[in-house]
This record gives sequence, C-alpha cells and structure tokens, in this order.
Amino acid sequence: MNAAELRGVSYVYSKNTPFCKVAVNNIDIAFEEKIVTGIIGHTGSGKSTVSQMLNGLLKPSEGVVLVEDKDIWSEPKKIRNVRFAVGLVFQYPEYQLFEETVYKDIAYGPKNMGLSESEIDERVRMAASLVGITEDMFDKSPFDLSGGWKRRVAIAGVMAMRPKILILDEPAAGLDPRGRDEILSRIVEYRRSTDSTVIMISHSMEDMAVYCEKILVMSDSKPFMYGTPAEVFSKSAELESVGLAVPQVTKLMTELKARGYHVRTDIYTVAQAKAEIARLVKEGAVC
Amino acid sequence: MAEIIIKAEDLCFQYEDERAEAPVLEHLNLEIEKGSFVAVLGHNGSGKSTLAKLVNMILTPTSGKLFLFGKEIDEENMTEEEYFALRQRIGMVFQNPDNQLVATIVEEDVAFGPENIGVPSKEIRARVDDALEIVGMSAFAKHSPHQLSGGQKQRVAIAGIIALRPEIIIFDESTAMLDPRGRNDVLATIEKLNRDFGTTILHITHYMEEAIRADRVIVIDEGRVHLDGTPREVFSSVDTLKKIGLDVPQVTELMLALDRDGIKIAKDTLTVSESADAIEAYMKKQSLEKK
Amino acid sequence: MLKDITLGQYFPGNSFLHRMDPRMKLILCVVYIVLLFVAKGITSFALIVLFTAGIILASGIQFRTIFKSLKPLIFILIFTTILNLFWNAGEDGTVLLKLGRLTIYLEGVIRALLMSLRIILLMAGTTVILMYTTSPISLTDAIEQLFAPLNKIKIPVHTFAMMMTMALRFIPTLLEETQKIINAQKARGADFESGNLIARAKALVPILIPLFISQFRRAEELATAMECRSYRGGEGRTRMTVLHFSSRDYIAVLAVALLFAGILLLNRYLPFYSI
Repeated sequence: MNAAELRGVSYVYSKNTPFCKVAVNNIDIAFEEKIVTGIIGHTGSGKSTVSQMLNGLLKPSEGVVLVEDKDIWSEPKKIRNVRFAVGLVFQYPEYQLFEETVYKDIAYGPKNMGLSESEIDERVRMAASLVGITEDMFDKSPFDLSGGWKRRVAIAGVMAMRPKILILDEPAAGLDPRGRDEILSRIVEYRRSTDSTVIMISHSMEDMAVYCEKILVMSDSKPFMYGTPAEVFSKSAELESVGLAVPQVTKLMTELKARGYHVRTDIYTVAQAKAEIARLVKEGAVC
Repeated sequence: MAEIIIKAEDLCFQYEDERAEAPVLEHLNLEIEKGSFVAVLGHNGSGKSTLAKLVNMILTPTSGKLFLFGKEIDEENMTEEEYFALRQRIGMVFQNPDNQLVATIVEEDVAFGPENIGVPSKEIRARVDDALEIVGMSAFAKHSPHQLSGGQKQRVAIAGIIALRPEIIIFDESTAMLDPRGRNDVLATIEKLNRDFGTTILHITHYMEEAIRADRVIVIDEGRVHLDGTPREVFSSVDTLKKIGLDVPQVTELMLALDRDGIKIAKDTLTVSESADAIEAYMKKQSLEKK
Repeated sequence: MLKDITLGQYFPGNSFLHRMDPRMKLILCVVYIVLLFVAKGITSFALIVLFTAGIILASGIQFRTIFKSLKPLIFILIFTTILNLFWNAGEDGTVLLKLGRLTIYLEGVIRALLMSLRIILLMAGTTVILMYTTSPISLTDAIEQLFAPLNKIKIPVHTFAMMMTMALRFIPTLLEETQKIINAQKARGADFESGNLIARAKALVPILIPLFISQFRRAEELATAMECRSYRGGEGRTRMTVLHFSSRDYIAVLAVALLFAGILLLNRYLPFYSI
C-alpha cells in the first residue's frame, strides 16, 4: 500500500493575479509506506508545495491527494485531522517555538488533538527521548537552548502528534556536519521505532544517499526521477542536466568508466567505492 | 613574503553574561597575509564566528592582542575617527541575507554604505554600478530586495560591502542559509573578489566543499587553531577532522581508506579528476610492472 | 495569502508626474488640498475636476484604477450625502421636497454633491500626485529634505525618515514570515477559526510570540550590519540621488498657480451656488 498519493495534481499560487505561478503541474506521485523517501530538487521545483499539499495546508487547484487511499479533501471540515495524521516540519522549525518550557512546547500539538493529560505526557516523553532531549531539559525555556537543540524541540513537537507520515522540509539546513548527522539519524530511528513513513526534503545528495531508501527527484514542477539511491545516482548525466550534483564518489566512478575502465557507476558511498576500486586494482593486475 | 594584514597574538575572548562559562577563544595565534583567501572551518560553537566578530571590531578581546594593517587595536587609546577609519577598511557579510539589506530598492541599498561615509553623489553612482556589475546583479538594480532569492540577496549584500572598497571582507557563514545554487553563486563572487581585486577574504563556514576552494584552511575547535595549511594539507588529516565532527571530501576519504588497505595510490587528492588521474597512473604503473 | 497585499500602491512609469521632483509634488499636493477647501461654487469645483482629470491623463494611470481606489470611501460618501441633503438653507432656500418634518432644498442637494465631490477629488488627486506616481523611497527622501530645517530645533528628521524606509523595506518580509509561522502552527493543529473571542485571541499567542522574537533578533542583527556599513546617523551623510528642480517642476507650479487664480476669480465673480 502507498502511504500517500497525488493523482493529477496541479497547484497554482496567487491564481488570477499578476503574480500567478504554477508550482506543480499535473503530477502523479506515490509515496511508499514505511520507508524514508527523500525529495530533492532546486528551489522552486515544487517540492515544498508537494509537502504542504500532503498535509492539507494547501488545497490542490486540480487533482486529488490521497492519504491511506482516502481523499483528504472529501470532508474539508475535518482537514485538521489530516494534519495530525500527516505531520509537517517546516524549514528552520525552531522559529515556531513559543512556549515557556520545552515540555509545554512539545505538548502543543498533542494538546490540540484533544488528548488526555496522561496520553499527552506519554507522547511528549516519547518524542523527547526520540530526539535526545533528556528530562532535565523539560523545564528550560526553549529560547535559552542552542540552535541545534531548538530544532530538536521543534521536531519533537511534531513527532509527539505521532503522525503516520512525517514530512520534514530540510531538517538539517544550516546545521554543522555533526548536528546534521545527529538529526538525520534520529529521524530514521523515529521511522523505525514507530513503524511510520518519513518523507524528507533535502538539497544534499550525500545525505539522501545515506538516509533514504527511495529518492524522488523533482525538476521544473514535475517528478523527474524516482528510485533507490543506486538507481538514481547511476544516471548522473541526467541529474547533472537538471543542475543537480551527484556524490563525489559517483562522479569518480563515472569518470573512470569514461576513461575506459570497467567499473560500476551505481556507487554512492565511500565504502562501496573502496570495494569497487580494490576489485579494479586486483583484476587490472591480472589482465 | 606578503604583508601581514591580520595578526592575533594570544587572543582570548569570553562572553560576559552567565550563559557561557568556558572561554570562546583560548590563546589564539594567527597571521593572515594580504590578498589571501582563507577559509575558517569549524562546527557551531567552535569560536569561528567570534573570531570574525573580533577581527571586525564588533567584539573586543578579553585579553591578547589584535593587529589590523599592522596597527594594534586598542579602542581606549584610539580616537573615534581613527576607529571608524580602520573599520571602513574591513567589510563583513552576515548569515541571514534578510537582516542586512536596509533599503527598498537594490541600488539604494548598495549606496547605503558610501552615503554613510560621505562619498560625493556622482562617485556613489559609479561605485554602485561597479559593485552590482561585479556581483552580477546589475539587471536587478531597480528591484525590491524581497523579490530576490536568498543567493541574490546575499550578492546584493556583498555589493553593498564592495561599494565601501574594503581591503578585507569577512564572510560570517554567509552561505549557511542558501540553497546549493545560491551558495555556488556567492562562492564564485568571493573567488572573483580575491582573484581580480586582491581583496583579502576570511570565509567562515562549516562546509568543507567551500573550504577546498580557498588558498588556506584554518580549522578551529574549542577556541584554538587545530589545523592550518593548504586545503590539501588540512584535508589529508581525515581522522582529526572526523573527530572534530567535520566533513572531508569523499574522494580524500576514499584514497586514505585504499591506502590503509595497502593500495598505495595517493593520499591527498581533493577533486574527482585528481583522484581519477591518480587511479589511472597507478593502474598503468601496475600493468607495466606485471609485464 | 498575506504576501499578496500590495503596499505603497506605486505604479512605476515615466510620465510627466513620475519625473517630477517628489518635493515639489509634496508641496503642490498640499496646495491642491488647500484649494479644495478654498473652492466655493459649482464653477470652481468644475475647474478642479478638469484639472484633476488633466493630471490623471498626464500620469498615464487608468481612470478605472482611480475609481477602484475610491471604493473604501463609499460609506463616507453616503454618509456625507445624506447629512448634507437635509441641510437647512433657511428662508432663501428653494424647497424641492417636503417629507413630513424634513425638507430638502435645492441648496442642500448641491451642497451634498459638492461635499462628496470634494472628498472624491481629495482622494483621487492626492493618490495620483503622490501615491501612484511617487516611489515610497523618493517620498521619504522628499520628506527628509523638506523637513531638514527642523533639525535645527532638535527634531531628528533623518531618524524618522530612516525609520520609514526600514518599515517599507520590512513589511513584505514580516508578512511572509507571519504566513510561515501561521502555517507551521496550523501543521501542529492550531485552530484560528473556531471558538469565542477569547479563545481566538488566545490562539494568536503561538503566532505573536515567535514573530516578536524574530523581529527583536532582526533588529539586533540589522543594527550590527548597519554599523558595519559605517552608519553613524544623518551627520556627514551624502546621497546617491540628489533631488533637483527642473523646468518640469516650474511648469507644474505655474499650472497650480493658474488653478489657484482661477478658483479665486470664480469664487468671487461667478460662484454659482456657493457653499
């Protein structure tokens, strides 16, 4: 089953004004359940629009959005429930924090769901531990934390709603490498431990390669490519034609192949590359 | 040897409020030559941004000495005029592109700096046109900043600094909030300023891809200089960098891993084509030996 | 979407009015307002209508746009009309209609028409002269330079002008940011639509707090950035664009002077139902 699906969906911003702009144009996308899917594309390729349509913040101008095979706009009055089922973490989510304490801020979403006190408490604790927030931080003001910790609080605030699908728009933007690895691996861990679906928007091919099982490449308001990291990266020439960079080792393999060596080009991690070059050296020595 | 334009001697800095107990900079020593392009690499909280703010005189050192253009910075014994004159020779571009543009029209914003220092009107016009040309934003001169992308805004901010004709420009994580395209445009602009105009560049970043493009990389961790050298020298210390929590180019890491497995190709390549060349050379050498 | 709100209402162009010195436009706009109140009879109003139509044509702005801008005035216009319609012209008045205790005089009808016309002209004239044809930044420049003498009595004119510029610069950014925060809180299940007044006011807290915090941070960063660009207040500052009067501005002065003279003459010799 697919976790979510867009069928024949278009979205036009500021319709009937001089600023009218087509963000996505008649697209069909299916997001597989219980995996981490990455969406990559340039600014303006329509990836943020897709994420906002999935949780009902934007209503498509045309087409249907299905979450668990149900049209989310069949009952427009109940759209708030869709937002609980499909959690959306915006870019730089730390700018949405407002409560006096870390605990209260994480509890904001569950509270809006109308859950009981004990249920809220349980969810806040679970979400906090998933992102690495310890109990001694609960009573701190979120504004006294560093940027990386603020972001974790904000992400926990959405995780606490326990959405079946968690969408994150560039969760690692602006973080240093250590902070980036920490956040991304926690997100993957969230997916595994809650058996949910994660959709992650990113600008970094390297991050996608490490953390995602499937990659959706968007270009020009349309899906451009979809597949496993190996499948996607093996088409490096096509990716470069839409201005997207492939990981350095993938480029190296493509370069070696162009120079006449028989190497695989669906490689995207250092470990894979090492094995492949070791093989090449060995066989090269033989023939 | 070229003139030393920035020099730090035993530089220490500590914030006065209670939020930070540990000093941000601890006895930092540094010399930067005129006309060089230096990348300062470090993770968040390493003290790299504090160094930038000290060099730009936004912050005052707790102890130690700082020399700019061969002159010791001592705010107490400097007249206000001397202070401002010195400051005009250093420009700074910040992280958030939105929080540094002040005017409602691009060219008016670029003119802001020269206007402040009392440049005659005709010359401001010339400087503004020049600056926008250098950053490639002439076509947007009459636009309003909020119509621009992050990368474009940042280039306008750079133009605003160029128009002041500073000898040193500090980029304080100016690429952190941009998408890859915007980052690349900004970096190309930085390289151009350094190459064509001889501007000394101090580029603060945590992206190793950007540091590779500099002449010299300084790695700061816990307020001290950990590594200092050409990108090739610095990035070959793969283990140290990883321990600090910084990235290394994939190919450098790959070559080191091969080296450790007894495949001695070359350890210090930084780019794809360099690595491919090294692998090719190794393969040829091997097949010759076989014959 | 919030960001679609247009501000400043400036229509870029290259007409006679666009190219006038903003200072002169500001001065002439004040004179124009004075004239509207000096004008007394139908004839002098007719003259102003002709003049206003003339400048609208010269500005290249469509009449339709002007009418649209008058829409918000509709209630004031109706109110003014009704109020003046029952104006008591006294014994000399020509009675048109008697409705019980209410009497409508011909003078009342004319008065109602002229009063409404005055409001319409006030709006149409000033928007065309100032808002539609002058960019906010040159308007700020004009205000700064015209009021510069006030610096002598310690009124910080430059500071006020700088504040205006910054407000204009950051309003679109602020709106965009507000929209982002609204969306983020909506995604966390915030409900801004239901509940009583207090509940709705409370629902705004999650928007207002992040907004305030980010504005304070912005103010701080902006101050540092401005300082780094050698900003030290208005003293010793030069400007890239120096305003200067051209023949165009003197022609405009002449036109307004003629209008003024025309109104004074008509008021005196041919008022025709003066109000």
